[in-house]
Amino acid sequence: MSLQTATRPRDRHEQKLLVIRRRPRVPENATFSDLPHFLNQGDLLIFNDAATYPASLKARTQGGQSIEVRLVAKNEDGSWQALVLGEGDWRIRTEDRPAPPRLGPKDVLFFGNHQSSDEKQSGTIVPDFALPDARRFTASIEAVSKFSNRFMTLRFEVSEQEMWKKIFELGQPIQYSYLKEELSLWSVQTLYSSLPWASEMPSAGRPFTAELLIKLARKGIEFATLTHATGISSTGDEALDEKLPLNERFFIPAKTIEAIGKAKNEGKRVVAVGTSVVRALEGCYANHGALHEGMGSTGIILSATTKLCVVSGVISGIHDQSESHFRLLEAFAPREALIQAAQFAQKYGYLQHEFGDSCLVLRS
Amino acid sequence: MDLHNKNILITGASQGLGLGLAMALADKGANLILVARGEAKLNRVAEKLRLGRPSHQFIYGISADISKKEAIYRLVIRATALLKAPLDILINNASTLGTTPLRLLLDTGCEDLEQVLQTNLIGPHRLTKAIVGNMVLRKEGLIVNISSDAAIEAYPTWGSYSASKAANDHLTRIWAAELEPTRVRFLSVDPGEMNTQMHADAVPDADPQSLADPGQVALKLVHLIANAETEKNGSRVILSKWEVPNVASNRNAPARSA
Repeated sequence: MSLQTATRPRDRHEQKLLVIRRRPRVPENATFSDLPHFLNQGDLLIFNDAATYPASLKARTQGGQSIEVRLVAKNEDGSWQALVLGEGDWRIRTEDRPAPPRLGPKDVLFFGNHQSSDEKQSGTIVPDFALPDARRFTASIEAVSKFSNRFMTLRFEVSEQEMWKKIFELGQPIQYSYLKEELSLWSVQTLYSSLPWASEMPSAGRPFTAELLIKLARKGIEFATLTHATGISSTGDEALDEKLPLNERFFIPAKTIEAIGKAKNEGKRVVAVGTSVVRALEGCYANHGALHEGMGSTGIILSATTKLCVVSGVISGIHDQSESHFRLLEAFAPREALIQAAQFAQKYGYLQHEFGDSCLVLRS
Repeated sequence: MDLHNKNILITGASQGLGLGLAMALADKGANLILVARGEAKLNRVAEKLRLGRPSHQFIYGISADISKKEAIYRLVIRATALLKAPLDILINNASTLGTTPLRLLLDTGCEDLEQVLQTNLIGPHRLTKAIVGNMVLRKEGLIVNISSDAAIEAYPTWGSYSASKAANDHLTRIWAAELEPTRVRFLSVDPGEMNTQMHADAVPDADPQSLADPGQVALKLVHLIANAETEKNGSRVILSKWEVPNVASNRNAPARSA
């Protein structure tokens, strides 16, 4: 059994919502705009407001080979965790992309154009090592992962201000080979995105429209935000994919902690919009035995054995049984219920993956 | 609203009213993203504004052409990356007259009107769209659209500009009406005639002495921004007629004896 994949972003107004609750015991087929119907006054929705930055950059090695660098996550010290892929473009599945040429610490990667517009006209190509400083944008490799030669720590050799300028000039959003068309930067943002912490879109929030937010607000459903650095979904390297999700950082504002406390006190539900929100909240709770405002990081893996301490429900995408995503939902509902839901989803033509339909899983 | 530490994005910030606003808001301790097309001039302005201020007060310039769709998210996300926080206030100040000298409508190219609408109407609208969603979730935020009396009066030769400003005023009201339950606020402000390059381009023979200094106008506008909650959401404020609210009339302040 397998679900159909959304090959172009689902129209927000046509988005389906599969609802999985204790009662009724059968899955329910709804549209995403029906969401207020399944929540009560005082329930709290928590959104991951991370914006998606243009994480994919074309680069060249010192030997002149073309590579793609995906900036997975920014470290506290300003360096980046990066996935490096060999030649090829987004139409080739990540797992089919060739590995990059062998790279090691102190190797330098070159970004941006060889040619100015004048040189383009005259056909001149200036070698990377001879580029004037103003046109040099380079990163040096600090370390290569022991699990995979595609995964490394690199550092751009400029100020933070200049680094962001270049990333926004040269970068493109990470693309998905199963989509028909290339995604622009604005098509990978949620309605409410803010800080650029996400290398891939926190896609559970994609179907929210202003109309829906206002409908929810009118019903007395509360909102809060946190920022979670969602990492990449696939690295194309099995050994490395097994390590996913990697440690991810998050930021929880004081206002959000307050709102959760209030909802809990009043016996209301705390519903995470996206599994990244679940990871941030439950990861924070696991780290401290309570929720703490501010920065944190987590490598928490959710499964049937996870005891959820903060979150009572999750809104998420539709994913196949074979995926880790499915196992993660077992923290919210028994396996049989999820399998039944998956069959139901197939029957009703639900589309899966980042740009497909949604599910709401409520524990209570 | 205390503007200290507030995160504010101002378009058209390297000259005229935008520059005045940048200076006045920097003095209030706000963190600023200054936006303009010309990079070199913008960087000089940002550098000058940073002088003598604490290192935790962020003031950055980002050059961008807001009439271009592709530029909008690159600008907004880069702004939050530099501020390390969401935006609290957006000031849509940048605008263009179109081709000068200004011409009668019958002599104005439709492409010229299109370009004026891109810069003065669609650009600010896209910026608002990219920024306001996060404000909705945080239940706070302010959008200020700079208007003109040309949005109301039918001045011959000002057609493109006037239409863009009138449309923007109306969008401001509709934004406010639609987002009423969210506590995000919208204002449009007519700052009055000022001694700026734009005014000189439009009315080359005007007597500069008769025109207000944009720096002075900016000071008053910053007062208005700090008191935005006292204005009806979505309203159009004529700055010259606006009075700084009397502190004594504030219910929270101790009453002053007569």
